[in-house]
Amino acid sequence: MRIMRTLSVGLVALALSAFVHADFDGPAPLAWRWIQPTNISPSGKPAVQDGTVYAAVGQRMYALDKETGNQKWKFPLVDPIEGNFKSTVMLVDGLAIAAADNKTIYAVDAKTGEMKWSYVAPAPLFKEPVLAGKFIGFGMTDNSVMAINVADGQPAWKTPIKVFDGFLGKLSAFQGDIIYFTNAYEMVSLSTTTQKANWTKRFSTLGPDAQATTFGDNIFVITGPEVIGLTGANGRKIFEANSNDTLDFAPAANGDSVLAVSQDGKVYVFGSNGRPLVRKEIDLGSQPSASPSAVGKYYVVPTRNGAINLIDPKTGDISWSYLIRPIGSGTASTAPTNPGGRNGGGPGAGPGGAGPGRGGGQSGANATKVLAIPAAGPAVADGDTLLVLGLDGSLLAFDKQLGVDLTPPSVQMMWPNAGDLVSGQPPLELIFKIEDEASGINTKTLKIDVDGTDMDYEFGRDGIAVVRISSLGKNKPLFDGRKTITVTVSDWMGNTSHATFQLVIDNTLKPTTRPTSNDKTGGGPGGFGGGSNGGGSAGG
Amino acid sequence: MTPLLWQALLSAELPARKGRVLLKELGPSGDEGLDKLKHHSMLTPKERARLASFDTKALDAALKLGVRPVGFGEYPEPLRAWPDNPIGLFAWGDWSAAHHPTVAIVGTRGASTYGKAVSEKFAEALARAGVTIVSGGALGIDAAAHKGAMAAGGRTVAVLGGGVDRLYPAVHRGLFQQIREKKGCLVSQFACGTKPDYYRFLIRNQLVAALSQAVIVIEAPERSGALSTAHRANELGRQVFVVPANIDNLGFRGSHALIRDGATLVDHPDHILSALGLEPAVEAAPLPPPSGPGAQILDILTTTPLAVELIVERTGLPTHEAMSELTLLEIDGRIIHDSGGYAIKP
Repeated sequence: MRIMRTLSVGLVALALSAFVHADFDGPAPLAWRWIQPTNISPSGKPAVQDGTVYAAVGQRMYALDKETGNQKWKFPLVDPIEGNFKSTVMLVDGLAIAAADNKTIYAVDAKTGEMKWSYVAPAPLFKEPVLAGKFIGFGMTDNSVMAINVADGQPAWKTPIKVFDGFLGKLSAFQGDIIYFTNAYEMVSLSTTTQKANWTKRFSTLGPDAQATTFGDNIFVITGPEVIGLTGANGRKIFEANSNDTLDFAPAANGDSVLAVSQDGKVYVFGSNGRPLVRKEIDLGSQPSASPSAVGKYYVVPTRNGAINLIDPKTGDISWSYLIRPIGSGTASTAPTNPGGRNGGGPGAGPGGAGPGRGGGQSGANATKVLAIPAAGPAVADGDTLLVLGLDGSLLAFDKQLGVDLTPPSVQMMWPNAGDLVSGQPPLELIFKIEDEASGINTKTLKIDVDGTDMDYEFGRDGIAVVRISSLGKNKPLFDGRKTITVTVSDWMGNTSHATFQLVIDNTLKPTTRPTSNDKTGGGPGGFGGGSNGGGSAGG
Repeated sequence: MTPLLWQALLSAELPARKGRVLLKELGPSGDEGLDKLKHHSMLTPKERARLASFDTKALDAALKLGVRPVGFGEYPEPLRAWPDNPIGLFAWGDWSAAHHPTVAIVGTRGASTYGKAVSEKFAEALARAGVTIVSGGALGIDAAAHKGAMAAGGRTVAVLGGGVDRLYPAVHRGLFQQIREKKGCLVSQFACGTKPDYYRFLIRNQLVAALSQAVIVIEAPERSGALSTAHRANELGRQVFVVPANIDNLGFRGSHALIRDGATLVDHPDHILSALGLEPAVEAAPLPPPSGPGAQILDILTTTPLAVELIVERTGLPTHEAMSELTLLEIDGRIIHDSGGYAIKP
């Protein structure tokens, strides 16, 4: 009886802790994707509180329902601000606070979106402000740092404090201190109450995106190839871990481990004592686009190819990778966004962008095709939900409970066209575009066969699979006759697609080469279809 | 009946006939009918369990968004004629869209460029003639049909396989918003907050068929939900039209099987209008034929998509010139483009 009672108490406690500590724990379907047209890419990350997601995009701040993505309010309600928001929304004392590039910090009621105060800085703001205790701290482009009161937006200090060497990287906060870096490679922990440096620390080098990460009582920072752990209160070094690589952005920490990413997309995981946890670095195949973030037991690293990569720090596996696609012609409608430097709004005309050379075929005027949307900032987890803000102004929410994925990946044969009569001799290539916007493609499941014979393929993170017919490799030339090509692939939720295509092989025909641009006006060696769709008329 | 009771009834997912009996018994009751319903002896344990867990929070949120219950009294003629019509619906948008002549356009999610272009073309032409296009809001053919109807300034109804507030697929959020804003609506026979599920899509397919006077299958492979819609339409005595493709296109195997089974082959929207007894809309005066580079590009394009690189290669035009001409031709509605390249608009 006693055992039974203990067991039942234990079960209740277990269930309760599972409820309380529910964390994002692996591949999940897209629950919703909200998008807001903007000409200026947002920066920062979403913020979540009490079932509401906050994001500052373009000329407005938005509050969305976490479960549905439906808008709760927007600020301003009528005329947008003159300028663009360029920060994460900070949530404190019932306020949602964000900064814009018009020197202004706006605070609104987090429940209603009603404006509470605004503060106009004496100089343009330097990157994002931070929340340090009851103050909002921010740098300004005149090389000074200032703090205002959260409660009323009034200056907390009489005058800004000069940073003589100028700012480097981004500001962060540790308890009531503002942490900043200077061009003299110095890290300063400035008390918002005494307006004096609690401590400073000089490094031999710091990257342009240097930013301190705080976790518990500690601060983590990247200097060249090293990750340094410091005690937040006094700046004393706890450990230093060398990656022998050029690290970028801020590290991420979860109490058990610290993760850092290199400029070329290699991930290093260290224990809290600085020892490597994963023997071999994890190759993401693309440069990072924002700082990594800790998400439950995992880490998320966004990359420039538009992927968000979920990394298991214990095994070093990429447990999930989801490619954020531009909103396509069949899906979009509310958002013909045009983030800086991107031409065209929708999917391109060319067959794909599988070109081996980056930038290949992107030579002509207006010829940049958007294949994927990098994240604007780190991913954020709130319970079971993972939230990511895209550079196109879209906000994606992934959640196993809220999201549904019943749709298998879509497979299109890009080259040759299904049903074509072609030669089966090299350099024939079979090119497929494989997409899954709900939970992403599980690349381990991809199989391509011709009449039942498995083929070797290359599959890029852009969703393009290429089978190269060769006399020397595994993919031998195809004999005459009708060939059935089957592409089998699953998404991360286990929905499987078996797409079949037919080609008629006639080896008396001239061998088929895949199309390349003959345009010589610039660009790279010519990626397949990489440079199409200048106009991008389908984007909205 | 109150929205709460409505939500409770739909949450139970009762068979239509049982639902109607209960509905009759409850009469015009308010929320107090809920207790009676919960303890009704006609309910199976599963139905009772579903009813017990019905979601009031989702209902409140949906009502705030403008979702409203639709009862039998507001059903359009084709839906009334279906003996198993659902006991109620939730609609979000302009439900009057369903009270015009309706044609369903259905097909595969993994549609080809050709399939999507045909879907858009048929939807445009039918919508222009005053027909409301009904489809399932899915990727591929469905999305193209909704878009085509809206492009023509017409009405479209998306029938969802989950609650009308549970937008699926999530990437169609913008499309659904456009449908609501442009004289169309989203409709579902499931309670607000209901998650989409495979079996619910099959039920949804029945409603697509029942809401429509005719069904057009554009591109259906051998195993496609569109075939279930076609079969249901056939059972309901609605005419089923099928757009064919070439025999090597495996994506049309299901479509071709329907033709073999007696569905009507159709290659122009006017055939549908004529079957419905509607007049085709007067089309806008044709554009003058393009000249120069535009004509060069049109000469080499067919209905099979061609990559930009090949267009550049075959016309000899510089990339930037070809791109701008392609954009103009697309704006004129002479060509379409997709991930496969550019093609003549069928």
